[in-house]
Amino acid sequence: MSDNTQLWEKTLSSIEGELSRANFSTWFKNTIIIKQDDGMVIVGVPNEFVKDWLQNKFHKTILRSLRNLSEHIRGVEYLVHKVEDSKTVRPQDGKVVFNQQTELPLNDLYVNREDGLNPRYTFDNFIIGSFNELAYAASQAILQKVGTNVYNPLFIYGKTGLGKTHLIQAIGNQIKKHHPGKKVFYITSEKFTIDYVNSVSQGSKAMSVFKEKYRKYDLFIMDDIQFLSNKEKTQEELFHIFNELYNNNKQIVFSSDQHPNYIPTLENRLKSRFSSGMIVDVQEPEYESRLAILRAKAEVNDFCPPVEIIEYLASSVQGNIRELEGLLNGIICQSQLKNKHLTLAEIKPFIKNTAKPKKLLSVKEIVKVVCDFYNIQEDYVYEKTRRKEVLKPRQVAMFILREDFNISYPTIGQKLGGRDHTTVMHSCDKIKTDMKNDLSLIQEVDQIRAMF
Amino acid sequence: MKLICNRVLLNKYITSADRITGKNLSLPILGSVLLMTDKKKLIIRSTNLEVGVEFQIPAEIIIEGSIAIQGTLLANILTNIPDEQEVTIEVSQGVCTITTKTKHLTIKGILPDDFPTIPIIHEGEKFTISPQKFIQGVKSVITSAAFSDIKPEIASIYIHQISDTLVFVATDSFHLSERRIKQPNINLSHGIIVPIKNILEIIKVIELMNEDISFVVTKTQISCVGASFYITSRVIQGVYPDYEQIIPKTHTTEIIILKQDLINTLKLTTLFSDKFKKITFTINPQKKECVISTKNTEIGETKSHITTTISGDPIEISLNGKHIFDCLNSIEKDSVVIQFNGPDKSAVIRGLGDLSFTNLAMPLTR
Repeated sequence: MSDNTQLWEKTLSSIEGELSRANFSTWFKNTIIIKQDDGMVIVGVPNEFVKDWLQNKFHKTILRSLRNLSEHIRGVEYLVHKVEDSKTVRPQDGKVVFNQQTELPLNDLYVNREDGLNPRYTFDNFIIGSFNELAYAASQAILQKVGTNVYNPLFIYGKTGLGKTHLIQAIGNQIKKHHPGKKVFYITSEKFTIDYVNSVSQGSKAMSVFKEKYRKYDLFIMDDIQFLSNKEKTQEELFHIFNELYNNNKQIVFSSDQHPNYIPTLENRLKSRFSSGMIVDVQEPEYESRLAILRAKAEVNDFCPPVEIIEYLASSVQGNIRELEGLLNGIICQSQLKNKHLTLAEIKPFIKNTAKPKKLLSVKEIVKVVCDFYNIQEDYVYEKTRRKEVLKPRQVAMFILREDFNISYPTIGQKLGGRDHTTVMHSCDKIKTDMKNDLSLIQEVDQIRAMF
Repeated sequence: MKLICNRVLLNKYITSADRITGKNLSLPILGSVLLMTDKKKLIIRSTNLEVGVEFQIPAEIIIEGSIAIQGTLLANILTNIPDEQEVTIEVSQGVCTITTKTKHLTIKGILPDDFPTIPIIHEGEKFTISPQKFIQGVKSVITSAAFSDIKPEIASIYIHQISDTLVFVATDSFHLSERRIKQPNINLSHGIIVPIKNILEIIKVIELMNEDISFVVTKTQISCVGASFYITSRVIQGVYPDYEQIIPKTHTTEIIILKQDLINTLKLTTLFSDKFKKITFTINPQKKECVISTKNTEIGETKSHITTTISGDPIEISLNGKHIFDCLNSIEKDSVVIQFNGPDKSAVIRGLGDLSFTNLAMPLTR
């Protein structure tokens, strides 16, 4: 990319000398080299007027200057491209300025109907932290080597609200921007299913249209693939489309809320194909990333709250980015109503209201959940048995009681059959160390935690 | 170059072409119009690099040639010799001489070499429509368009096709107007977004024409062709919001008012409205009462009861009076239907029994 910029800058400076200033600035403003392809240079121009004029009047000059700089250039073509909007100036003084009239909810509707991509999702507003850097790196690798089957298919999974959709749509938007000729298509698995069902009900002609439609893309993105579970025929169709695209070196990107191996009733042949590319996960953001995300979101909304508020929000809300965004929106709305910035004291109760209420459970209830999960009798946990099938659930129960419910070691020991507090400490440590290596244990604990 | 032509015709088209010259651009030649001979015709061309226009008028060409002349000056000259029928224009060595029966003027011209060409669109999707219909479509929605250029997509008019109607849409994100015009034989695969300034120029030109006009559109350009003119404009390469989704399909309260009653009431009430032009509708179906009120701490307040047919739930809602007033001009029916969906949801305004025009207005809060 920088090669093109440099080449064009040099070309322009050599042309500049031959023209009057007015002429030069009128015709060469906002022009760039979009790409070079086998000796052909594609120059992006702001509109048809400029295209016409450059072609008729300056074509020879441009070609000659380009050739002087780089001998292999054979020709120049002009293409009208979209000029990036110049950034609007934001209010500097940090005052809260709001219009009295509410806007029509149009902003969410700027979705391109041809490729299904929402232009708001770009890498410019994508925040990278340790929680998603692997997924980001993989997507960048794809962007650099389109159509070479590095990381094909790319499979991104992670919990809801962590930016999967943003990332995969940004891949689409980026490719669209740098390779205007490539056909990009984004679809959710749900829409895909509906389309499939409609085509089936309309008979064989519609079916062949359906089959053709999805095979012509250079980049095929499917979101929320977990919803395909239990839809066997749709999966089969996806399988065929996948094969076709894959064999033609077309990039495929999927997202899901789970690793493909854990999506229930997903056909094995799809699972194995997903595994053939790159499977990366997106974790929950840590504090620094949350801070960066909040700052960026606040800036987008022209809202500049004091630093301590952002910091407080980032430290008090765990997990999901969408929840973070929701909270920030709530605070923006509150400050609109009051027409001033909220203080920390005003925000605290607000967060309390939106944070998930933690259920108050007795130790007995928690133990019951754990025992039900491992399918053992509850009584065994309280007994002095050391059988393996009892030992593990007991240790897990202790670990969860300590980690999630903050119950003291002696109390846990006392409640679980009068054990010593050192036994409890040992159990917690053991589970903690085991979880570092044992994947299935991590999953078990996660699943148990989800039940509370 | 030497030619003789009709002054009235020349004046009309020079004035029109002069509107499109680029007044503030760094390239001075864009401030002029180009006169160019072509067999038995005189071609008049001007452009501001957003819009370009070309007119052809019949003329007796004696010597072929071309020249660029300051448009405003030439238009003023032609306007101020009203008694003359014919003018003779002669150019030699960059100086243009205009001769009539009684007058003799010389103007300094500019060499036409640097005058831009205007792009001719050959390939693209074509449709034909009468100028009246097109103008009606644009004019009925234009008051809703945004005037600032910050978001170019909505400082524009969106034209697209729904079955056999051509649909014109404009919105500034606070209110939205849609006009549907029946026009068979249209086949547009994509919508086009034309900047509002440019479409106003297009309208000004096609207003002068009587015959049906052919439009050619591509993803980057729109052009209109008639027997004696050609105008082309840049279109915005962007995505227009999928506005159809936000037009409410249902309503909780509906009132039907005589349009003239509403106009009269609005004229009175807006005298009292504040800088946000806020007017408040208070509708009480039980009492069969609809009150339009305004309040301004500096002037005073008004309350008008108007005769309406009311159905649905009681509601109190504030809207921008100017927006309503503007859209009433686009409604041809004598009665107006206003549908509400609650105090913080958008209101829909249409002519009674007429779905060809729809206006959507967001309520004012506070």
